[in-house]
Formats: sequence, C-alpha cells, structure tokens
Amino acid sequence: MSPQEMVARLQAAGVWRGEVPALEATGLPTLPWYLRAMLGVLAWLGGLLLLGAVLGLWAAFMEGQGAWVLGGLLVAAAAALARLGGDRSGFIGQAVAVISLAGQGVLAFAATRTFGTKIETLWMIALICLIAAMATPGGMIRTLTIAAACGSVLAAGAQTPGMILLLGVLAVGVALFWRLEAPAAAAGGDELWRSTLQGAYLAIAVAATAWMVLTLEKQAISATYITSGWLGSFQGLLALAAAITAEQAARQWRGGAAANRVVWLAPVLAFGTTAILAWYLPTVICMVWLALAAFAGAHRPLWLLSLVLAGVHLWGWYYSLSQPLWLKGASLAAVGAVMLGLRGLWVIRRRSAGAGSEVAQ
Amino acid sequence: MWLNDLEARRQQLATWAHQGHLAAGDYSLAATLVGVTPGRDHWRSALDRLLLMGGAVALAVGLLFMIAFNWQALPRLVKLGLVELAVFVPAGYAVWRGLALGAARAALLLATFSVGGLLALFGQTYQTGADPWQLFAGWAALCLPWLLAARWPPLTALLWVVANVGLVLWTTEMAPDWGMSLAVLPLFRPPWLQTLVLCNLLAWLLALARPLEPWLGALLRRLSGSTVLALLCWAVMTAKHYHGAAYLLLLAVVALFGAVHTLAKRDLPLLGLTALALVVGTVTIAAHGLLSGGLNTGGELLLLAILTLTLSGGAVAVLRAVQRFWQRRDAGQGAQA
Repeated sequence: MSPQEMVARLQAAGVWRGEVPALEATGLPTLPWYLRAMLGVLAWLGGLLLLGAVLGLWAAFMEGQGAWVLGGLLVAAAAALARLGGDRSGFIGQAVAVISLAGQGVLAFAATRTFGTKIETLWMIALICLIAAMATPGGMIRTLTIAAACGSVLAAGAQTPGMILLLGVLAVGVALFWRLEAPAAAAGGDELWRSTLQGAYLAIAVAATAWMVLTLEKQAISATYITSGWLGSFQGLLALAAAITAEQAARQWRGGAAANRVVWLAPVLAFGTTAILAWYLPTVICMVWLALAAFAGAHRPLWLLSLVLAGVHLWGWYYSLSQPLWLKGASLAAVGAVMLGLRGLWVIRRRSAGAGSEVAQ
Repeated sequence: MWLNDLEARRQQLATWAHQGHLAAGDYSLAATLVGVTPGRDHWRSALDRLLLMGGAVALAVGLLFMIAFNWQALPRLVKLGLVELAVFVPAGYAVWRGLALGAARAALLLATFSVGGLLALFGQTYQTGADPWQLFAGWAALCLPWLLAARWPPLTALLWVVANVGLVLWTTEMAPDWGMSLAVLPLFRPPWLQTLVLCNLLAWLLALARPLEPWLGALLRRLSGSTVLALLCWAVMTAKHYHGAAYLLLLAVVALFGAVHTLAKRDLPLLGLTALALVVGTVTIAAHGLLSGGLNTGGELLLLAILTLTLSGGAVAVLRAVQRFWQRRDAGQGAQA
C-alpha cells in the first residue's frame, strides 16, 4: 500500500483533515521487520556488553557512593537519547532500553548497598524504576521499568494482603501521569498504549540485572528477585493483552472515538486487573488470550512469544506427574476436537447464511 | 513508495496524527482502514485459522500423548488399527477435499503427526529392533509425497525438523566417531554438528542447483541456510582449540551466501541472517581473544561493545546498499527492455 493510497482511503472515510503533504518527502523507513528485529538483537548484545564494561570500569568508584552518580548518569543519558528522535530502525530505542536498564540496575545496586537487603530496599528500587519511567520517553522502556517496579512491589509485599490494590493505585498514578504529560499523544492513542506496553516481556532482563547486582554484592541469589522479574514480565504481557482487548472491544462496539476514550485506561488495566487474572486464570487461557490480543494489536513479538510460551507450557505439562499420560492426551485431543467442531459449525452456519441471502435475492 | 511493512504504515499514520491530519477520535478507525490493526474480516479469518490449525495440532499432539501411554489392556491390532485410522481418515479427507483447502491441509498435518505415532507404536509393539533414527527417517520419507502434493510451507518445515532430528540421532547412534579421523573436522564436536552442517549445506546447494519449484527452492534455501549459519556460530562459540578454524569456515559460508543471494538468488531475509551470523561470530571470536586471560578492567567489554555496535551499523549499511543495487539493476534492465 502506498502513502497515496492510504490518504485516499482516509479521505474516502472522511477522517483526513487539511491538505495532503508532499508524500515523497516523508522519509519513510525502508527496513523490513526482520532486519529491524536483527538490529534489536544486536543492540541488546552491544548494550549488555556496554553495561558490563561500565560496571567493570567503574567497579572501584562504585565501592563508594559513586554508584548513585553512575546510575543517575546512565538513566539521564538514556532519557536524553530517547528524546533525540529520528530513530527509523528501532536501534536507538533498543539501546535506550539497555542503557536505562543498566542505570536502574546500578541504582538498585546502590540502594542495596545503602539500605541493605530488606523490604525497604525493594520499595526504593520500585521508586527508582518509576522515576526512570517518567523521565524516559519511549514506550518500551516505560513498560519495562513499570513491569520491573511491579516486580519489586510484588516482591516487597508478597506476604501483604491487598497488594493487588496497591498495584492498582500505582497503575492509576502512572496512567494519570501519561495522560497529563502527553495530551497530543491522544491523537496517536494506539501508539501510546502499544508502545507503552510492548516491551513488557523484556522484563526478564530486569531479573538478569537483579541477578548481576546480587552477584556483584557477593550474596546468595534470592529466588524472590528472579521470580519477581519473571512475574513482572508475565504481568506486563497480560497487561498488554488487557489493553489491546479493551481497545479492540471498544472499537468494535462503539467505533474509533469511544476506543480512544478507553485507551488511557490501558495502564490501569495493565497492572491492576491482570495481576488478578495471572493469579487465577489457567495458563493455557492466558496464552490463548495473549495470542488473540497480539493479533488484535498486530504485535508480532507478542504473538511469537505467546506461541513459544504455549509450547513451553505444553512441554512442562507433558512431563508433569500430576495426571496420568492418557488423561493428558485425552484432554488435549478433546480440546482439539472441540476447536475443530466449533470451526465446522461456524462454516456450516456461514454457508447456510450465504444460501439464505441467495434465496432472498 | 510502498508501505507493505506494517511498522512503516504504523509510523506513517502516527506522523500524520501528530501533524494534525487525523482527529483524536479517528485514529483507531484510520488504523483499521489502512490495515494497521485488524478489521472484522481479518478477525474472522484469524479465528478461522486458529480454530482449524490449533484444533488439528492439539488433536495430533493429544493422540501422540495417548499413544505414548502404551495401553496394555488393548490388543495389538486394535491399537494399531486406531492409530492407522488417525492416519488414513484425515489423509483420505485431504485427498477428497483437495489439498488447496485449509481444512484439508489441517487434516494432512494431523495425518503427518499420526504417521510418527504409528511408526513408534509399530516399533514398540513388535520390538522390531529399529533404532530411533530409523523412525524419524521413515517418518520423513513416508510423508515426502504429501509434502510435494500439498506445497504447503508449514508441512515442509515440520518434515525438515523431523529429518534433521533423524540425522542427529543417526550420528549419535550409528557413527559417533564419524569424521573424527579427518584432521580438518575436529572443530565440530559433538559429531552430529558436522553431519547437520554438511547435510544442510548440501540441501542449500541442491535447492540452488536443481530446478525445484520456486516456493520449495526458496523455503529449503532459507531453512538449510539459516541452520548452517546457526550451527557454525555455535561451533565458533563452543569448539575447543578450534575457534579460529570454525570462524574461518563461517567467513567462507558468509561470503558464499552473500555472493549467491546478492547476485544470483535475491533473498534479503537470508542476507540479514548472514549478517547477523557474521556479527555474532566476529564478536565471539574477539571475545575468545580478549577474555582468554579473564576479565581485568572492563575495557575488554568496552571494545566488544564498540565492535558490536560498529558491525551492526555496517551490516545495515551493506544491506541497504544491496537493496539499492537491486533497484538500480532492475531499473537498468527495465530501460533496456
């Protein structure tokens, strides 16, 4: 589809405003998605090496209070880099994510050194993540850091009743901030929630950062850190699914304008309701939901990830000893048969509807 | 300029939104109109595929689980008959409905899985003494006609995986020292690595040389080419005392793939993978050199980071140059015509 064709479609639907710009001069990106994905992988590789180098070179400095300075500098550098703009390949966006995460990791290290390994430190890390998210424009890093913040909050209050409520309050605060910060972004509402939430799965990297921090600290690796990172990541994924589902439902139900009024609620859905869902829904349902939501948002990485997670889940299920093999096989085959049956019924219904309309004509 | 890429269209739409060409309430509608987010028809089509393919795969995997249970109470012939039904009923349905139909292809997928289950059950029931590699080889061979008839990439990819697993098992069981006597090949350990590299390289060459159907040739080139690149990167990372030799081999394959897929058989995705393998291999070999004495100050990692970022930028520049080269050549040929 050419830009001219896009404009023609928009004009025909009456949603285009003003004069048509010079379309040849728009400087559109030409790299296909697979090359951007390749660049993203390389950006992460380079960024992680850079992170290791910075930590190695500054190790002596970090023994003192210098870790606070270094972490702050890295987060500030990431924020500045993200504001440069003009990133057509996605390379800078990925690099910003790595640098900001490195900064947050160093700040987490500093917090651990200053306050010790206790609950208050986890709260401090959550606060650091939130500040970094607010400071750095760019959806992916914001999602990532919010997911990390949620992971830290969950780890800090794992035994506390009402933690879900706290996450909801946190999410409302973040949502309000985004709403106040960028009213213009409402025009690109899809972009806002999509890019805001799309990096959640990368929160695994936060767990790796926490692992590294604890290794540097020469302490036993806390399983809570790792699991909270994974949990934050999975929560972020479901958050994305929730946001996409809400937006799609609103659009199908009321049209575009109503959908955009719902868009700003995405972060609330993200880190409030999905925490409950991740807790109580069977994993398979979560995976199917992820796949559907990924399709709704035309989100290839999430779609691929949902397939990978479904495969991993199936693999683990096969080897779990909680049920006999024949029961596992029979239930899976039954699910398949039901799906095929539903599809068959749907085809018959469509055919009969088609035949009915022909008779009416 | 064409915006077939989803992300390009999405960015273009966002640019127009920020320029004020789209009202705040119209963005979602506009996104659907230009295909950035799915509309009603897309949803129907996707749900249809999900139910069909998801159902077929779930049914097939469920059947394999049930076969693996080894029902002692059932007579042999009943067990074999049930699994044969799972092979022949879907295969017959696929032939009856025509292999271009989605439901027929899903049925063929189910039949393909069931063939593997049938061979496993046969070997288990009659204790034929066949090795596991023979099961996979037989599975791939028996389903080959379906692959050629269906002309369907997912089925091809599945059988390609089955064939490669068979090769790994063959090397492990039948020829654990295969090639080890040759002085050139000790960089490949374990030996199945060299079996896979050589066979996939051969498959890539055959896909180039033989007049295969275009879709099959392109698919086989990508499958075998990406496998060769991944395995060579693995060899560079893991080959003890032979990192340099493995890297030289990787360089040779990169040069070969680069030349062939730039000049003869245009393939940007495979060129992208080739560039990725080159960067990963080069950074790995540099890491072997720099970090052999352990990490001292972190300066080594800084060098590696700079190398990675420089090579990444270079790779994109080269790939863009290749795209421009193709455009110029097409324009020149068009002018001549």
